[in-house]
Amino acid sequence: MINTNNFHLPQPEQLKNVLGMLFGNSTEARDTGVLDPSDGDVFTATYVDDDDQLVATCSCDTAFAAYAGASLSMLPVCGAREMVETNDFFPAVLENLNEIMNIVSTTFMCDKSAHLRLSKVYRPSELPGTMSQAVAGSVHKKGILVDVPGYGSGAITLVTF
Amino acid sequence: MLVMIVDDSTAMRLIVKKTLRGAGFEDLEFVEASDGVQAFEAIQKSVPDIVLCDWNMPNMTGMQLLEKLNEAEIDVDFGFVTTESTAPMRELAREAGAKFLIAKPFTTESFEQILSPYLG
Repeated sequence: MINTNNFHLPQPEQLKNVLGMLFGNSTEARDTGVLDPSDGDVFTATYVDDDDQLVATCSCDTAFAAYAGASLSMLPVCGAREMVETNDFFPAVLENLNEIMNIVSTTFMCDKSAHLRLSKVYRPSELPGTMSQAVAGSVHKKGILVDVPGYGSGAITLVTF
Repeated sequence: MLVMIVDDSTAMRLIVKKTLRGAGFEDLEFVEASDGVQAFEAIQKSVPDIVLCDWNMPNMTGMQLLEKLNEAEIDVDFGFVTTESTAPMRELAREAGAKFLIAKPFTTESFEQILSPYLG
């Protein structure tokens, strides 16, 4: 699906290929429901165009944040599960989530789209209300469940405006 | 051969090192920096053989670092390892004097193919 800025809403296969280069070839991705960024356990990355206007977001649940972030540094799976249970994230995992969301930025762009870049990754409950409303009002959303090999599954939701 | 890796992600710097080794490049020594400011300071003291640099970083971007190196007339093989891989960004990089641009996420094969002329 392409919006008016020609930003591309990635499909599971594309996301699987991109994230597979980070987490390993057995990474899987499939359709799932969309996340609400105003929920108390959802991280949200925001992406802006060259005029610093919000043009896309990628939200993820705590499971994706913990498993993906831990996988990038090959941290023990038990530590990742503990982060999901306690919502207490290692700084290194949060730094890794930032880099993963940076790499997700590539999935929104194609040859005909404008340029976007990662602006910020908001922790749960920190996304400004105006941005939550923008996400709620968008009709361009895709929910994808990602299996991070060796860790577990987590959900992400990609949104373009 | 001294390789400088500039990226604000600690994990990505490790992955770049691991990928270089996986691509078969041997006898490499590494120096790391987490942004352009750190990198420029380090390069002024000791010029590496090659710089593998992220584009978007706090304090000083990779492009700003490349421009500073040009201004200071420091001759070093400089390339980007970045998500900024659209055609216009590749053209910007080329015009500024970058020798190559490797798109994130990358593979061992892409490292081998693109970096062999510099590290092989």
